[in-house]
Amino acid sequence: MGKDGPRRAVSRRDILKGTAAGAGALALGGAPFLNLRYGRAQAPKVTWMSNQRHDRAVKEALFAQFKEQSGIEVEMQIFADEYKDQLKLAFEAGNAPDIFNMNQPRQEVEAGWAQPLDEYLAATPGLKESFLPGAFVPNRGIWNGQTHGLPMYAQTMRLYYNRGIFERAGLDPNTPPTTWTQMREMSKTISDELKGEGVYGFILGDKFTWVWWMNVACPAQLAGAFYYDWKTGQYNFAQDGIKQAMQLMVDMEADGSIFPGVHTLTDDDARQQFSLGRAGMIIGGSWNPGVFNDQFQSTEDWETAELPLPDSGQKGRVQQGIGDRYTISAASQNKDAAWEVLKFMYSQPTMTSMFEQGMGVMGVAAANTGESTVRGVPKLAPTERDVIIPPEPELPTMTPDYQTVMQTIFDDKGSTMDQKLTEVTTAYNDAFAQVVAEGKIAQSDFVIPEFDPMTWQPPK
Amino acid sequence: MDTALPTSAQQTLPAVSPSRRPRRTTPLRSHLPAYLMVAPTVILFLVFMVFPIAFVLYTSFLDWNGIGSVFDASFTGVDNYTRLVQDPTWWTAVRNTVLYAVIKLVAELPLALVVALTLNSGLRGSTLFRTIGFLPVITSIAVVSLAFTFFFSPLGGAFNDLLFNRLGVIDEPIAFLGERDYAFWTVTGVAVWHDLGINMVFFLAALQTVPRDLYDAAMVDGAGWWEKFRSITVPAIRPITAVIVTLSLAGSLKVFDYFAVMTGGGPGFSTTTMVLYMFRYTSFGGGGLSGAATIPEVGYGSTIAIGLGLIIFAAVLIQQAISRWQEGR
Repeated sequence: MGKDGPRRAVSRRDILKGTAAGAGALALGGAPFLNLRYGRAQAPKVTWMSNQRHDRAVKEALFAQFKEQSGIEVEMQIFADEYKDQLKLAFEAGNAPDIFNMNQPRQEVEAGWAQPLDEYLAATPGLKESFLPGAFVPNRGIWNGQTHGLPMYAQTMRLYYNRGIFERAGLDPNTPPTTWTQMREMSKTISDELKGEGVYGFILGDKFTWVWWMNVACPAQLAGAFYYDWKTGQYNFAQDGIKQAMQLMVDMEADGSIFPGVHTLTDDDARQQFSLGRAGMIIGGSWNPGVFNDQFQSTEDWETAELPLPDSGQKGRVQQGIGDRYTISAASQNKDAAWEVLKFMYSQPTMTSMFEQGMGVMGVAAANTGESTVRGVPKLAPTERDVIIPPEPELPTMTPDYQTVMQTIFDDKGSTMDQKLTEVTTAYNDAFAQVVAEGKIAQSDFVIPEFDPMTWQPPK
Repeated sequence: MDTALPTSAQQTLPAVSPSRRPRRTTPLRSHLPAYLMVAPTVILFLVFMVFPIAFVLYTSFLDWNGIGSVFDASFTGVDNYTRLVQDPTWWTAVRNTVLYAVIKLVAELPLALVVALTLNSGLRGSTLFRTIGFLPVITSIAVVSLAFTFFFSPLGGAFNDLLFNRLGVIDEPIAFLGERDYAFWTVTGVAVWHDLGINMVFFLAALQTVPRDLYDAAMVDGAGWWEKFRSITVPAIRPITAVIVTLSLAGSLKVFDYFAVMTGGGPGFSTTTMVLYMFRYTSFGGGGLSGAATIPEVGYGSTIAIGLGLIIFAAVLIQQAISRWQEGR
């Protein structure tokens, strides 16, 4: 989609039409993986339990098409906040779903809930290789030496900016900020020009503090600063890159460029304000276009851009998440049929269809080369600035977690930055040492002496 | 039983042959219907109260992730309790919760009593005022909390609009729910407003049980308003006041929803409460968006629950001891 081309939000009808088209393509040329062997009389019903609602309509349409092809009916069980409880209840009551989205992969594998997929993958040439590099490595996709769960999404982090607001503030709507200084200056310009209308340059909603991960930890990665350093096998939140990214937020707040009351807003609230045209920029994952388009029905002229770089230049890449692993229950009575469902869902045509309809960046690499007309989607596809990082150590719940510490530093206007980042570094390293000492994880699994934030590539 | 019956009674009693003597019944048999009638309640109490408490107590001594079998979890002795005692955020939660409970006791209950006294004084339109006062109580806490989130919003919120635009008493809008200096007091204020009505109704019911004759007699004796209140009203409503205090105290120490909706326990942990803190550990949510997986610690969450329970138990015991002491004076 060109910058000046038609822009519109995707509607439910678009989704269904797109799905139908995608499914048609599947029927004609796709799915060499599919093994259509069920007659209607003997077709089993496969249960699919998930906590993902945003793609429900698309999946339902795809499953309907799949039923036409294979005779296998898929029954979706969607739970939101109570997903983890429902999943546990299902397994403990002997009523486990055939396929489920892994919520706590390691613990669920250790509890015996998940069926290892190695044999199925071995019998399906090409499927495992179709995923993004790094999808299956020890402690992420591979636990106890066995493969568990196929990653549905592989989210990228992006800056979203409102072209209309840029224009009204006298900025070029076709030129989003490319450096941190530009982002600060543009935010200030927007706030100075449009504050009277209740419009600010930048917004975040940190009522739940995890958002500091995407507003500081992720931008800092472009400065080569990953808070867990695989090279040394230690946490280090006090790196210059993290301090600089944190300082940027402190400075923007001091400039009056950030939407007021950030602690009273959730990320959803912030995205709603952005969708309503009350903020010029917001940082978020590739899940955001679906939220802006569908959940908030935004009519604003917004666009997607890559995260701005530090003024000193790029010294690292931004982490690309890879998760939402769906797998077969070890207790399933329909394992073969469940595998057929997974093969269908993870086939390139299906994944491409989901990408093009704006569901997110997909775990299957080739799917992200699809062409989409949905606003904001084309620029979500992974670039050279994105990297699937190695797995981080698994720690217990940290109190305070580093995100809450960052919030405190923000409130302290940066005055406590050195002290607090050093303290949280010590706390994380102590917790890491403890879980290693308890034998829960092996430190050596999280050390990569040759790790370089610019050049490291995940194993294929 | 060798109690001597009057002679006449002995004569009128029919002779009972040994073979026709009534059978001695066991206590169980004689009370069987009663046992059967209370059995459902007892069974439900055991299943839904005793067993969960025992289970939480058991898991508080474990390193349990809440996903695998509890029988496979490792026993860690009192490690979780040692950790709890040394956890500064837990003590922040305790301080916040206790402060909240104290404010509710010293501000809300006297206020509720004052309103009840006013409405009980034959005020014109008291039924209407009573209804208005009770309205918040029948409104969901989540809805009320959400409404006040908008009300206190720094951007277009009605309260800031009043202070900033209409009255001009502040230089810039204030994030009442987002600033450490204001958030706790703002949420507590909303809670006092919301819960005032129910305590007002309790007090009103108690006041209406006090015989009017006593006040008339006191008036004849020349007692003033304060004398009547101190010597008649207070002693008369003391029993129900003890109940109200107990309920308010126990409820306040379990506070969750106001803070969960309005602040989420933040900023930082400045408004976190004991139950919110327990929720942080028992509501494991996976790796989250950042992709960094977290090891769930439901065992430690259980320890927090036990700590919370002990504090409530101790607070209620202290309150009841004070009530008994007052009654004995």
